Amino acid sequence: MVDLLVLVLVLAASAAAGLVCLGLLDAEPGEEGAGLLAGTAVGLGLAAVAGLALAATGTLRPEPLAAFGAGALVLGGRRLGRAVAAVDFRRCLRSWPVLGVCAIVLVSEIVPMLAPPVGGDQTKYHLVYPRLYAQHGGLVATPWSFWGQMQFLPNFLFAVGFALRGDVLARFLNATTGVLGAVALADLVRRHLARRAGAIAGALFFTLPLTWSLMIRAGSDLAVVLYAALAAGAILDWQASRTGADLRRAALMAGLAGASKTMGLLVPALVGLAVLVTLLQRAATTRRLAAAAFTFGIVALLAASPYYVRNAVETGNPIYPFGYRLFGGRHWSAAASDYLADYYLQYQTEYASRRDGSPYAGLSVVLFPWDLTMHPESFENAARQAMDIGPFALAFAPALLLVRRRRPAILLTAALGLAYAGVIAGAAWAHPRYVVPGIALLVVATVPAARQLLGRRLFLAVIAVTFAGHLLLTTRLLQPLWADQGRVVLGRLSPDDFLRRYSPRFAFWERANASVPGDGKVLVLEKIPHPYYITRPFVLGSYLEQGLIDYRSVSTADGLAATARDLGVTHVAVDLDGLEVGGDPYEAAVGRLWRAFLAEYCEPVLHEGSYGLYVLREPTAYAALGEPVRG
Amino acid sequence: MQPAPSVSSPSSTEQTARAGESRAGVARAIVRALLVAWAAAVFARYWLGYLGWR
Repeated sequence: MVDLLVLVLVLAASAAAGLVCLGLLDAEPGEEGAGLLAGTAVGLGLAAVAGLALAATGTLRPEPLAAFGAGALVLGGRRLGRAVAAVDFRRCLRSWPVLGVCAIVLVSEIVPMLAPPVGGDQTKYHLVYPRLYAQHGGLVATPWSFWGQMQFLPNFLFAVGFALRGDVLARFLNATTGVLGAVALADLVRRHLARRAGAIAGALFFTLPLTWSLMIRAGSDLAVVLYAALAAGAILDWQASRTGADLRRAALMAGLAGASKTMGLLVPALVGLAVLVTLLQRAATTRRLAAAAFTFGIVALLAASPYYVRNAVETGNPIYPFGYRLFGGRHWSAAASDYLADYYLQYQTEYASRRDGSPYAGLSVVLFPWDLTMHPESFENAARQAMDIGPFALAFAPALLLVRRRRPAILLTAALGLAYAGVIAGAAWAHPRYVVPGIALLVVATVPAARQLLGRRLFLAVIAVTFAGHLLLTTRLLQPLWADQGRVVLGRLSPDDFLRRYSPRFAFWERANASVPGDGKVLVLEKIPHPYYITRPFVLGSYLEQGLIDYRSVSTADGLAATARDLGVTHVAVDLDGLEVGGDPYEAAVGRLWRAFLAEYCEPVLHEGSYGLYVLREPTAYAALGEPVRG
Repeated sequence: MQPAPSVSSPSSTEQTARAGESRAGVARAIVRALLVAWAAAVFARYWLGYLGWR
């Protein structure tokens, strides 16, 4: 309950700050009722920048954050009041059946948010580093994992959440971007694509099983959906109004999409392209074209840049560890880049076999929309429903060719969605989560196409069937955790018991944390560590996700022991199953090295599941032991 | 006595235009039917997938 109250305060302060920012930029939406949504979205971006700035100056604590919030409310309180008053809540209530469906879904999502986080990338990096920054009140150098540089707008929002309260608020903020994303899609449809179908379109996205998965685990994809939808809406506003305000807002939203994750940089690129094409169609003068391009570019760049600047300062590479051959980067190498690329290809190959296929190459990527719809389980180790985008977009995308009413706006929205999904699938990674911003735009663009194709009654029947299908599949996602998460929320199951039941990593680290003194430091030897449950200082020694300990040069047990000592390591935690795998020669060599290192320099402390904790022997002790071996 | 209103026969241009419209209407109806059939097939294949059909 306290988390919910703090969330409301954070959102109020963010919205006030965002509205002031939009006012200063002269980029407010023409329709008064749209101000609250735009202001809140921009304000969340500002809150993240505040989180980064405070972390960079070592002051990421509740007091400075509260001062920022109070300042925002003083400066923007009146604007916030006007924006709230301008929202037509009665129009919202007229869509009560659709809102009711969304409310049921949201309630089902809140339960996992109130229980401790389990699974997904959130325990690997989305929550790990934000919590680390909040605990230390500032940025923490983590050169032993590139995930410490994969911290963007949503992650610094999570850092703010951790600094103010903890993991529940952090995950509430993640869910907020999802809810606002659905509202932004609904607003886009209502104002530009199909006046009466806004709520339906927003709900189609919000009830997707994939959206459910993204809502209950902290990540960055929903933020890209939010800002991409707002950028698309703003660019359509600009096409109708031709005002600089709408162009600047489009640039701001597109820039914030780029700030949310590296792939999100495609949003400003595509929206900027749409601006140029529109101006060329209108035969704009060169001067006007240059002015619009300059305005768009500067605003988008400023909005996107803080996290990339941080990475450039810390590693020398704004998109670390990617683009190594172009930008370079500390504690990384071309060989490490190649090995990472090989791993990603192995990963794609393994799961593509679930559809009897192989990773897409060249033109075979045209099969991705079909596989995405029919074989969502063939992209990662997850339940089929968890990656499911439903059949609606694929079923009605061809009907886009027949739309007549509001055709340019519908086709531009669909084109942005298709281009985003197509470029990511073709040039980066064809994966449901990575293309979800494009899918969201495509889904809402197909709503008016389906309406015009089917007629009102059949359209409503199809929508009802689609919602029912989404809900049915979502119920399958509730297993196996939801009931016990509910027990945690009701106080009938302790959070630790819950975690012991569902997380082998927690079961190990609970004991390991107790065995390592507060001034100790643990070296984690695991290919893909998920360090969320470690409460002691740690260093990650993956051979895939870091280059500080480069096993191409540290190739002997002596060398690894010396490196560990230099890093202040006192204990070593090992994924024992990982010692035996040898999927490739490099992996096999690292496995042999780790085994030798454990045998020569480590004493076992405890064993839990497939993990072991060892204490690193004192240097004098192993030097003495080493003498006879060396002869 | 009023003279019967004269009913002029349609010119060949009008006849051609109507025939063209009719053909376009038929073509549109066929395309719509194909699009509806595609949508129905996608929904059916999608749910059959959950019933175990690969």
